[in-house]
Amino acid sequence: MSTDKEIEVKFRIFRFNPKTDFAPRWQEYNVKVDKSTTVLDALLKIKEEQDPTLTIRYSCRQAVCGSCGMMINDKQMLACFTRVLELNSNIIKVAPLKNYRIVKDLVTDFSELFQKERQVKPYIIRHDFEELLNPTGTYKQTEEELLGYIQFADCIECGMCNSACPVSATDPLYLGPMILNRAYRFISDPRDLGFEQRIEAIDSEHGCWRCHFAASCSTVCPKGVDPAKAIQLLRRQLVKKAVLGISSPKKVELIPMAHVKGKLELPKGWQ
Amino acid sequence: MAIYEENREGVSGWFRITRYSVERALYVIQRLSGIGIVIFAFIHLLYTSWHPGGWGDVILGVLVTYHTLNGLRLVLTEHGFLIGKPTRAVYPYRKGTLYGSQRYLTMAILALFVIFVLIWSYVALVIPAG
Repeated sequence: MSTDKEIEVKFRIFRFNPKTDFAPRWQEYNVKVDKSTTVLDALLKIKEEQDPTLTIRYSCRQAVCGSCGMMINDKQMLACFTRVLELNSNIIKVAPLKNYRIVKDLVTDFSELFQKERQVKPYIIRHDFEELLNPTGTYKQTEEELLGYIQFADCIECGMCNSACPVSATDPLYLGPMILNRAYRFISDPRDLGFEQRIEAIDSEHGCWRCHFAASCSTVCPKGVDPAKAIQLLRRQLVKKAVLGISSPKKVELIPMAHVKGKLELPKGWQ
Repeated sequence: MAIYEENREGVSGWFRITRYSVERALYVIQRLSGIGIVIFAFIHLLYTSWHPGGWGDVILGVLVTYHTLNGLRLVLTEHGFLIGKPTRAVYPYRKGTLYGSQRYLTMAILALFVIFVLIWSYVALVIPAG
């Protein structure tokens, strides 16, 4: 095929250093790409051969870590998961993710996002402390119970859903699809007993009721997680509980296992 | 500059519809039609006997019909109906909120919207003239 040979493509890249620059600027680079070159490869090529001051964040290069989410031709995409020639465009516009504070160039700051994530307690909450400290077995899960949350557990926290969300664009306090998906992942887990503890954050003005179901989060998700579905199911659970008074108590059977032994130390300040 | 550093899309973010799914466009129209209806409602409260008349009536009918039908779709989907059950994410991903029943529902409400608007336009334009 003719795409095996290298083609020169123009990259328009967003350059901005908040510490020194007054306003952002667009810089253009010409890069030779072939059919296997990803946007991340091209950016690294620019950094190595043309401009070492270009700042990017990446890690795994295979759509697992979620570090290289950016606006490629005005849409949220993972740079490592997007081939340049598949974009079918002579000019590739690369900018940092929208709705996040810019650290430099294409690097955005997720600290606010992770700070907000603490509100929904993204971990399994249980009350049988003795079993947690001195485990004697494993909790039983059926295939159906697993299917209830496994899709939402695939989230790699790339933050692209929050960037695509039109509500996040205007409401900085909105938890956003990523965090609400995280909340639903644990709420729907049969082992988790922390629904009551998460209600305050979720059932609020900036929680799941803020969503307007534009479904852009699900459109841009690179892992098939479908955060929009998680938010709607979260609402369904809240309505069931508040309006219809239905709450399904979780009872997880413990399967004793002889080989599970050992005492866990309490972390400092944990109660 | 803080505004560049903040990098927030603001209201312009609502109107970025071309690169996302059709639900995004429906969302923007839902908001705009809602604002339109509220503006009409204010005028209507001040001058109860006033109504736009002719093509104004048609526009008002379009706003109200769209807002109602799409609102019914949202009532269903936002309570977890017709968006599919959670399943394993297997590539190529088919997300329940963007495929299947939800999309059929969207097409159905858009078809109903066209039919209702045509009937309403006939009532608002042709019958008074005749």
